[in-house]
Amino acid sequence: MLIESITQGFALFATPLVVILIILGIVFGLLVGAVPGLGPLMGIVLILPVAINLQPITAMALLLGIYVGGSCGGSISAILLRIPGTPLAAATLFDGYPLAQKGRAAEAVGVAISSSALGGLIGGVILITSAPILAIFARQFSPPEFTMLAITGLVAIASVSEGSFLKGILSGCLGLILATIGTDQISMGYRFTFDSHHMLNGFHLVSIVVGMFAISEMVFQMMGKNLTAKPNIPIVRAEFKSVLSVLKNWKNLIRSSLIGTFFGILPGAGGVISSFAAYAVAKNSAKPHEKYGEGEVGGVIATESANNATCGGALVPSLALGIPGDPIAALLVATLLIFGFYPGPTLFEDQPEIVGAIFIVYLASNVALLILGVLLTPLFVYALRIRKSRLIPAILVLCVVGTFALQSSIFDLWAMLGFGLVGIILRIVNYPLAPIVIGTILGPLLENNLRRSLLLSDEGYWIFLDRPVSAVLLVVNALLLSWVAWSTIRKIRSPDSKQEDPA
Amino acid sequence: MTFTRQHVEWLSLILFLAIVAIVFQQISTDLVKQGIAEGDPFHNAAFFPRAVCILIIAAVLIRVVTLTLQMRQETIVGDSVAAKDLRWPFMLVCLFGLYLLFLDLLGYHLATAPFIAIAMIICGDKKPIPTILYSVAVALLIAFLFEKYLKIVLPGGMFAINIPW
Amino acid sequence: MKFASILTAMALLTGVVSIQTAAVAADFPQRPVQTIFPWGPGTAMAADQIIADAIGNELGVAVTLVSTPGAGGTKAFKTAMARPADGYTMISGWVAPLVSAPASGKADWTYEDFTPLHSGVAAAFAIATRVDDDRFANFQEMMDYGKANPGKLRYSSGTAGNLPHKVMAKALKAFGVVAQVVPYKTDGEARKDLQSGVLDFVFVNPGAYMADKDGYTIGLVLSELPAVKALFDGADTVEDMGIDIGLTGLGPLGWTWWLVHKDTPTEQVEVLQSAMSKAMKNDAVKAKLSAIGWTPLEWDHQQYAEIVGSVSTQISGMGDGLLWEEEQIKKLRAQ
Repeated sequence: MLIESITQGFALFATPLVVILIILGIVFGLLVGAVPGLGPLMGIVLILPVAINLQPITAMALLLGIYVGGSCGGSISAILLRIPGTPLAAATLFDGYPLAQKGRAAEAVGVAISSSALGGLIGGVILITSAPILAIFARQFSPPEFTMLAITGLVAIASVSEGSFLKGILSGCLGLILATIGTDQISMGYRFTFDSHHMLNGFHLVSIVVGMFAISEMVFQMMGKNLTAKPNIPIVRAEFKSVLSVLKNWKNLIRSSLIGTFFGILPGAGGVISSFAAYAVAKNSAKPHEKYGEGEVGGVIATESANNATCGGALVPSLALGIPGDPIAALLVATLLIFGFYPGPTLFEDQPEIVGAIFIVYLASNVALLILGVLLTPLFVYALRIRKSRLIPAILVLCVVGTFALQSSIFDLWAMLGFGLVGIILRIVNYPLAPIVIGTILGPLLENNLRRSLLLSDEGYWIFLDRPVSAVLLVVNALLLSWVAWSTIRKIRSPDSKQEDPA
Repeated sequence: MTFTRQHVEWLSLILFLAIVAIVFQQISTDLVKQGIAEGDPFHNAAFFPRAVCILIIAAVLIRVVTLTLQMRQETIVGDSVAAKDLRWPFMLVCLFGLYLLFLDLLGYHLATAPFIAIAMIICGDKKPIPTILYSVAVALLIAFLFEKYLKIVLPGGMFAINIPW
Repeated sequence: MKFASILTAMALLTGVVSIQTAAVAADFPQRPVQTIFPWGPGTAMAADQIIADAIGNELGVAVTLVSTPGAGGTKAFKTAMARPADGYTMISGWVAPLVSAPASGKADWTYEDFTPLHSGVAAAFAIATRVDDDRFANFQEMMDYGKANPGKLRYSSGTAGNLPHKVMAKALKAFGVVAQVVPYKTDGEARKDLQSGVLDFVFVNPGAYMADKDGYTIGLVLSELPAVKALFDGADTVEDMGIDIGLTGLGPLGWTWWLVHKDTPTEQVEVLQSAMSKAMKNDAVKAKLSAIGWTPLEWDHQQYAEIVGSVSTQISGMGDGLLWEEEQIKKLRAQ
């Protein structure tokens, strides 16, 4: 089944347009990763409207390219500027910046790119081997199981988000409520539409995410000083021989990639946690002569291979179950949904070529990352010099045109502005935005499967205990919830509760 | 006048309660009228939003308690921002709103380049010629990509202006 | 501020360029024509995409589909009607929002409020059961069980209240079977849950059946037309089983008829009508549509009133199987 799906998928992959879009995606991803404040999520949010107007696999090529490139790009600014371009690269700074100060900047960037690509490939291998197995297991899943999985995803994302668990819950609930707007899929009644035909299908997901993430980010960027400043950074050239120095640390590479993939598969965890975890493990198992924190190549290898391996891991539950674990994976799932593909066991059975093509695109993106990343390093360094005053207006126009393109609707644009304002308020007080995206996507999955389960059941809620997989997931959810609730209460009670919202 | 983080904390809670109020108001009017506010799982479209709202209320109440406790412990939590520092971001939001309005009225091609130029000025760009060249170039480039390659019909406005590339 | 004058000049500059280019080509169409499509992506969109591309070839401009799902397809109609009637907006008029929604009072228009271009495609449907379902020897036995155990069978037509649901409910009423409908956003999801064993029967169209013939046992073909019976490999039709669903011909089928706003000027309408007629007569287009399970229709705009009028009369007069189903289920739940 796997071989077939990959060979069929290869036919979809092997077109000039797909290859070109992977390249564009990687370059754009590295750029948004490198420019502080943007990152892969923002890159995908900005390109999503464009992608939706393409063919499915070309769109996935573009988006996966941005995901892979963006997960690596942050290391460039972390190493050169001591500002992680994305939170993913925060741990890369520990050893990357000291390396640059010792005059080994080119080497550090080269190692960061090589270990990202190799870590991504290891994550890809695990993706390709484990996702089909999970999909086969999930073939017998029906509404009760999906109800429980949706709850797992929501609780996990709310509990690990930055800020407090309560704020995570509130953000998640906001997403769930937004998802209920429009035509109810069970009764076909209209909810919260205020008799406007614009609202009959709710707010478009893209106007929600572009508003919340991109518009609010641009307004936040305006708070910064000196928007016309051009940072003066020397041009750095990376070299392919960095691959060798990464491979020399193969134990570190494999260990960190496995940690990264594991955290990717877990709902809610994501790249930031995985890179810090991999760094901590690498530091603990360091040899006596390795001085982590003072410019040790191993530190960069650990964090960068881990955060890119996370991408492969995150795709496992997203593709096999249709349950995304982080906001980027959620947007990838949403894109597939918009194209009429339902991620989950059905996708593996009915459209194996799509799954195969996504696998190949993901692997190819990592190869492209290695080649383009090393060759084009000077370009990304140059991107760090772009003035904010030119970036902000152009990004705003791109948001407008992209969102308009979806349904040719001016209403979507006003909705986008509205969500931008809400996003600004929520961000000022550190509400995590990721649960909103996950909530909007898992909301219909949760509600409709819950109601379907009850319609299927002859004895009400007992259906969740009657089916073994659903019962196990129910117990897992209960444990997860009580653990999170307990640790939240302890945090509120503890004397240093004012530390709850780090500024 | 200065704004503190606490003002915004309270504002965010009010926002959530406003959402809850709208949901309950709609359930008791519009959904009742459609006959989907109660009944079996097929008809009860109000069950799920109501449950989510109850969760929101619970979370907001806990936040109110912790926030009040924090306010007693110390006078100012978090940093504060002077209103005048918010001038430029505020202007950007207003300009953006105006842009959307003119996009509908005049169309993409008349509204976009001026928007980019004014936004650049708000951001502090001072040189007129590069500003104009950049804004016209970006407006045309984005239009070209979307109209030519993605076959999108951009808003034409009252003059129905579209460039057949 | 000197910027003010520069900005005006700039707006004029881009404006003049565009007005001039727009004035060069006076004939219709000068820019892409958009078609408002009432569903999300799926096989119906694939069929309409084939038609849109073919019309685009005839017109010499791109014809794009704008997927505007919501409210059983009526959101698309409302969106399209709110746009200028200049010929640049077409509607893919699927039977649900065009005829079925007005018949059940969910829309305030009739099929006569639109100007027809040409008929598009149609697909019949059938009731399918699981291949490895060994509880019943045949469909009649399943129905007998359902009659003896009201409310025990679970089925799905995809979206609740859609045309397949109406027709299936009507057929079930004829069998005297009360079954619980379980709605899904798409019929594809419903078919998956037939396979995973929680549903007893689902609606299937020829496209889905052709893609996985070994996956389904066709229980009942919901049409009396011999061509439809052949598509489902000779399975029993409503006529074979002696069931009256009150619908014949195009009545129980899903189909689309492409339309424009009634105020669209005649010249534009004629250009679109002739382009679509040519497109639908193209053998390559027909072959592509048949390959994905859709039957291309050949009626042009002159036959609209007659054909759609008859379907409209049938659907409004078929009596509501849905209402009967709802009452029966309500009674069961009350017990």
